[in-house]
Amino acid sequence: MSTERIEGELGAFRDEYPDAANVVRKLFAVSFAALGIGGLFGLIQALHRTGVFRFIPSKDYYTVLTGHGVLLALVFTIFFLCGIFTWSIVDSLERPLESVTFTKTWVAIMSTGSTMAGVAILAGFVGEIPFQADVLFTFYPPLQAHPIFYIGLALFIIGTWLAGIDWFRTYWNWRGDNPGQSPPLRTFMVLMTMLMWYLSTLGVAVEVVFFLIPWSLGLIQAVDPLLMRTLFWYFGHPVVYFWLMPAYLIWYTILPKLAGGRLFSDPLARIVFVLFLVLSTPVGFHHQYMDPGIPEGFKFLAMSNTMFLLLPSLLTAFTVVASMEYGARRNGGTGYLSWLRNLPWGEPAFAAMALAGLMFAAGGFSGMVNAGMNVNYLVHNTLWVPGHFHLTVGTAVALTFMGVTYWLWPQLTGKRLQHRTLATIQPYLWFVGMTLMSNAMHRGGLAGIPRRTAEPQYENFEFEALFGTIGEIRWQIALGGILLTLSLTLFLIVVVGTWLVDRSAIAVDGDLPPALSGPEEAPRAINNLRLWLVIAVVLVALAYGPPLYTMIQDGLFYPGQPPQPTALEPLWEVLL
Amino acid sequence: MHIHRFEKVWLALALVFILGLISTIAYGAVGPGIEMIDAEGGTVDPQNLDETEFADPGVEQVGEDEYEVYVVAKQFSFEPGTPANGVIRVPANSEVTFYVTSQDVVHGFEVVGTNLNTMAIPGQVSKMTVEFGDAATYGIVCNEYCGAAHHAMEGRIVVVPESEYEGPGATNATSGNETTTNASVAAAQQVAGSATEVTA
Amino acid sequence: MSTETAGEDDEHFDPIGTATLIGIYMAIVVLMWIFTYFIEFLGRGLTIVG
Repeated sequence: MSTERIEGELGAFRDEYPDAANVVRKLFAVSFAALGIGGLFGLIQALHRTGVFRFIPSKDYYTVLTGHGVLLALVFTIFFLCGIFTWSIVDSLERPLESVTFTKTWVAIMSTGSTMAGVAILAGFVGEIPFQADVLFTFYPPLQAHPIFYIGLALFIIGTWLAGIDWFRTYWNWRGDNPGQSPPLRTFMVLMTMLMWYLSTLGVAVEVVFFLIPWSLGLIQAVDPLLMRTLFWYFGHPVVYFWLMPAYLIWYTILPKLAGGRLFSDPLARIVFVLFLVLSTPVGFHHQYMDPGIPEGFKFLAMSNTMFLLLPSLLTAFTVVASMEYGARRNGGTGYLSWLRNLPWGEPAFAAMALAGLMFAAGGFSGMVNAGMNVNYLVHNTLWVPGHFHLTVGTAVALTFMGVTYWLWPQLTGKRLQHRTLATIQPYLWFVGMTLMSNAMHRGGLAGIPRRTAEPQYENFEFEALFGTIGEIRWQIALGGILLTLSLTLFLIVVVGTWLVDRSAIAVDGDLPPALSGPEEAPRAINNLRLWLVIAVVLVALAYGPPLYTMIQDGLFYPGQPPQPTALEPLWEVLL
Repeated sequence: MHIHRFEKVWLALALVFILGLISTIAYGAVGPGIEMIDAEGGTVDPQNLDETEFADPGVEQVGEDEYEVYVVAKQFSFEPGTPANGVIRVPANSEVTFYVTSQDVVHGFEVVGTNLNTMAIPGQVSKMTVEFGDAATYGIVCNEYCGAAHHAMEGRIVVVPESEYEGPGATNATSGNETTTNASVAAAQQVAGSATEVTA
Repeated sequence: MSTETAGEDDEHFDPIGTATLIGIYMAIVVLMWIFTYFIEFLGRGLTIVG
């Protein structure tokens, strides 16, 4: 595990698999562009809603918020996922892309879809053009966006489906050449994640393709808002795991190496991913605890599934920390806790991932409160909720992605990481900024401050904070937002700076050590993808079949509601 | 398959913890009797609210200390609730059942600093019963994005001392249906009177 | 410090530090859950009971 082996060589993923490296670089480039714009939008929101600095009209806040949500939660995360999964498949199966044309096709479809949705959102700033998509990340009807927003989303999802086919095809070809072998851990993780994704995107695909696109074109008069919410959340929770599972892949396979150790247990990692496939989807009703029209029993079932979904994360916490501890002890670490000092905190890739994991532990707690059926009354749609997901997707995922970039970007570009000092500061700055912003958001939520609101300052009442004051909460959110933006800027400087320099020895060892307990120790059934998929489908059918059946009893479109705003002329009529 | 004994212990602990979380929630349901918003409120046709119980939303007295409040959420106010539509006035120490729906898009109905919190979804009725104690004023906020002026959507619930409560009719600024309003005012005055006697 | 030094020692690796950390985490989370549920949530005035 010496870094010297690579010093002085140009050996990198880029040289072994130039086509794959090229595709991954492009996916990362789109991802980071979305991160930059989405992050800037986040800063505008943090300053606007706290009243610290307002330079846009409050109605445009919602355009900014839609952009922030879609660009960060869909474009940044999923383009990055496609990059890291493509790298995982190629690197772990040691096979180049099966067909560069096919790969480029899905990248193009995803990019086209994102651009269409993005144009619809940004057009919300310009009153004169009849495009808008001020519908936020959840696009709950009857609020309606321009058809290109929905068509763009549909294309984007189709692109990810094709990406999955690409990875599966590579795996099947590999299996043909290596009969009887269990797939490498990274490949296994990619395949399980994609099975979950196929199962869960069905919900949003049905919502968008069969209801929202025809509705936005004027072909359907009205849609049932509750049914649409239900289809959205069928997808809306698994998408959270779609962001998280690449981070888990990184924590399981790369983080232990960066800590100077190796993975504790390969079979356990596989079990964790099986649990994610099986349990991620039949939980969506926990986003609808406060919705009328859904019997309590279905909510309770979703809650039980959600609570059991804690299990893979709790197991992960143990395995990943133990893998780090193993590294620290090999580097001379001792004691119950003093071994923590023997971890490479000065390495930006390691520091980013470890801090991300720490914040995920905190986010885990607020997630339990979100998931607790009746205690959800306390926090539903308050600032607590964005406080929670800025710890999870906004840090556990985002900071892990930034961390792995410090390690992978040199291998993809064949260039040495630039601005190391900035890269070293960056994760800590993010950690401090997020600590300020997120703790304040949680406390603000307990005080009842709503999320998704441009000016949460009211005439009829005052918020009362349980801890601290409302004024102090606002300042912490604003200051946290500023520090996070600063951290993000440092990250982009490092990435762009590295991309622009000439090639040199990269000083990164791309080899990943095998696990202490290897895949050969796993029970054979663990690699039976079909078995796990069938179980997942059965659980989904049990959790969603009865409630969906009751919802459509009174008709697919009843109780229905025509679109808002109604000022938009249906495109269909314009075309005719 | 080899699993370290620490991991076995952790797995067991994690399962106990998860069951503990579920038990806490179940306790909340059976102990303090917290109910979830569910399908009990039924559905309405959001395009024809005029033909439903939401035609003339407001407070109604249905028993000695029992009231019903029909609330329509709309861009960008609550009716009743937002002062321009008349705030919601109920007497102290009463049991109040809220029926909340929306006439346009999805809204939120959150009584700030309390556990009264629901989504107002077109076509669905949120039915929630709460017990008000002493006189107090509560803020209502829309906590789901509902359009360009979402941040202006707010309201108030005023819990007045029983002796000062003048009946539900007094709350309804937009009295669309004269007969019901008058009838409920009369009924409420009777009850308010009897309540005063009891306290005196 | 090459990969090959791993071997017999690894079989007996007891992640005692991890157990300590996780134990502390669990204790904090249980306390915070109790506070959030029983004091903050159940302590609030208005709660839906029907």
